[in-house]
Amino acid sequence: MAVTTAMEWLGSCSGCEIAILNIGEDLVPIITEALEIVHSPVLMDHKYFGQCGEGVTLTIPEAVVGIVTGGVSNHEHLEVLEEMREKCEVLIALGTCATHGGIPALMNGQDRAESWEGIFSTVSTDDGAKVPTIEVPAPLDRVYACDEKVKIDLQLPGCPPNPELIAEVIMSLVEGRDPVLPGKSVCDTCPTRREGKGAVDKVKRFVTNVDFKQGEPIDAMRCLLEQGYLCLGPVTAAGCAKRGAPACISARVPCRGCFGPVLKDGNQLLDMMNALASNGIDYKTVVDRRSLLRFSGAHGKLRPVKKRVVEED
Amino acid sequence: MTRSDMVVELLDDFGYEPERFNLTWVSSAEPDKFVAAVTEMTTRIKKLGPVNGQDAPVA
Amino acid sequence: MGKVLNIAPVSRIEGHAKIAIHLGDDGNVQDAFLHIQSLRGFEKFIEGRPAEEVPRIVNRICGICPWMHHLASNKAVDGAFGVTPTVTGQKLREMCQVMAHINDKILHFFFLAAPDFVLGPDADYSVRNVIGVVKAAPELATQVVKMRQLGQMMLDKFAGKAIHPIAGVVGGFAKPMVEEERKELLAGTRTLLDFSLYALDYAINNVFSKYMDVIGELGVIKTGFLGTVDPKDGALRLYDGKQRLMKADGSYVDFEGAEYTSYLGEHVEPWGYSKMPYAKSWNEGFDMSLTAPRGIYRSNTLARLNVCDKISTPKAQAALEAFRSSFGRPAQQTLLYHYARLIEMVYACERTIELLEWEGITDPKVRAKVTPKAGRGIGIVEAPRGTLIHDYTTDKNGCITKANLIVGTTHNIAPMNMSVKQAATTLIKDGVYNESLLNQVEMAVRAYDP
Repeated sequence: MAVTTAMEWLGSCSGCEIAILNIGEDLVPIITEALEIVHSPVLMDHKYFGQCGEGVTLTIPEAVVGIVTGGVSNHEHLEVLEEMREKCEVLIALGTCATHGGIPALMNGQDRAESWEGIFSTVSTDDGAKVPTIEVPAPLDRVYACDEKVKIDLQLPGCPPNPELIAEVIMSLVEGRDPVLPGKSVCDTCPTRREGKGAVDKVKRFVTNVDFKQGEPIDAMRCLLEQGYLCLGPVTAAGCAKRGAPACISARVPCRGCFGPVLKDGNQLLDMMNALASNGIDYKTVVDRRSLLRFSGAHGKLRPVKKRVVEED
Repeated sequence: MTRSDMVVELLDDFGYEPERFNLTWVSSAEPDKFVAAVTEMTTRIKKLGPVNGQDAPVA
Repeated sequence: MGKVLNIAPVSRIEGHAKIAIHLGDDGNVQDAFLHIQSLRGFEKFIEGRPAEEVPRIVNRICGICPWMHHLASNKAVDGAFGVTPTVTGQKLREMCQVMAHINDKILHFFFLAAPDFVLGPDADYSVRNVIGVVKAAPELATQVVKMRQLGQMMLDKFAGKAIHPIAGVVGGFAKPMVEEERKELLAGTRTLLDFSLYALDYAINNVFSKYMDVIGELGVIKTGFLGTVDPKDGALRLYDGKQRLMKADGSYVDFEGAEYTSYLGEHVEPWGYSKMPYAKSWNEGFDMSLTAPRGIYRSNTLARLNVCDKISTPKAQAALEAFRSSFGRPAQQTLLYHYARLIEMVYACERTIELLEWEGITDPKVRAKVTPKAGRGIGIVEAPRGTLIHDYTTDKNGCITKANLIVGTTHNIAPMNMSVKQAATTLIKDGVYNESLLNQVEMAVRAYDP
């Protein structure tokens, strides 16, 4: 009996959907036999307002499994998310945007209204352009993760999420068992050589390539934090590792935390600053600290910097 | 560099006024200094008012 | 009684849009719009970020074409910091870019567009999708899935991540290629080249020949075109080159990307979040009228094939010559985008092989020296959907103070609106409409692969 499935995307980029396709040949029996996809705008043509567009109420069919990607940043996202919650028995938030806000939540660090005005007055934009308001969904006050608005049954972060884990979660639901998921930090899946931090007392920008010998395996390379680079491995949830090393580390590039915090409500900025302080590394050498929250800016963590008002006593 | 230096700057990162944090060293033999420190801080916080929470409770 | 049909969401595209068709009392189409529903604000929230971090933030603009944003961004930061990447660094970047083009095109033609052609535009919507294609043509579908996965995993293994890449860096590339990697990538790309020739052949015989009358009519408009060409011989280029802006009559002007603001403007309508680039330099303003369009040009595969004088790789060039003998230059019919996409896929495979066979591709000098500083850089690449422009200004700490992005697909927003109006007006008369006709209106949008 195929499990009915509905898929939706909110403030998303489609990376999670491509990650689903990257499950590869194993995906074919999943989408043709194990699941019956009843709604999925990227893949098939079920419409919100009836197939001829004559309806007035946004409607998604009932489904046992619901998968939603992207964060919630406008009223249409909210309406779609609430309808998904209403119609789906098990609702999965897939991808770091859905679980923690993701990159679009960087907007939470700015004044949204002011920023939007700025977007419509760039150097190549026609003079006098105004922010559109007709037949487009109005924005919310900030970017939210899905679980700030509805109850989510399962969270699978990643930017993008690991296709193997997506397949594991889908099959565990179909087979009625608990999924097997990694629960620790990126460092736990990283094979680089640790020798102790040595003389490192500041953090350097990633403007030179890391030190490694061409052709040597990853475990011959020294830990990037020990090389003096900023690497968010210690404060990021494991899950990205394929072929024996975290994805970015395998390309000899430091981690920037795209799976979100290790524990659901961890604070990647605070935890990383703590880690640096514990190792006697001057936190002031981190340029643009706030962007350590670039993947987890929802849940009220990233806010506009308060403008100072100088008061007379 | 101490964590208390860092706390002040991190509060700013999160959109809170750094004035909400203060570290004062007082010995048990300096009661007046303690009273002054607490009074000053209380006045300061009252002037700043409640934190304007953006945190949405988890649904 | 006039009414509005709201086709939402537009399906089998990458993005959030709805089509609104306004019918008058007589049941004929008065107007039709493609309303783009999403706005995230990348241009603003990269302000304040250290510029060398931006290529791994802006890749998240799109999960299907992240390599394009990643590389245009790296080029812009190179420019702002005054860095010339090493030759090997540039070639590694280009190799990843064209390889990503291959995967993108397999995805679009077979997973998103093909259902309309393999199952027919009037098939029931519950089967008119990739799942239906798998059931109707299992051998083809298995091959397609395998080939796309091969391409994705090659990129994933070499560069660490295929989706939301991190291996391009200011000054070049994060890691050199070793000989075993080169051999594996060459073998894989040769398999992909064979597949792309088969795909082109399959499409010509089973799709384009069957649907010639639809191609001649559906969504057909008359516009100019924008693409990138080799400055010396006008050959199709995807990574580096001069931009060529062509008018509908075939006349054109080449310009240096750094001067884009003199040629392109962005028009804004209050009924859609996406801006609409237009040809400011034609001095005719902006008008989406079907009979007398002004300032309108298109980007993406058909545009690139129209503007280039030739393709520098043999099999793709042969395919281009066959295409031009049938459809001329510039070809205007919108559904030819699909045909052009498959020709470009052949080029992307041949170009990848060329780059992998270059003797310097395994050179260890992959990154030039980089010192963050104040400056302005404009980085341009051809994304699958069109000419992608990232324009950054940095302060003395090398952090972004200002950014302007013209995203490839947006060059086609105005043309898509025109194609939607053309298709709706032609197909819906006297109040007669049904699901199949409305799907055909969507097909006019899908051809652009937005």
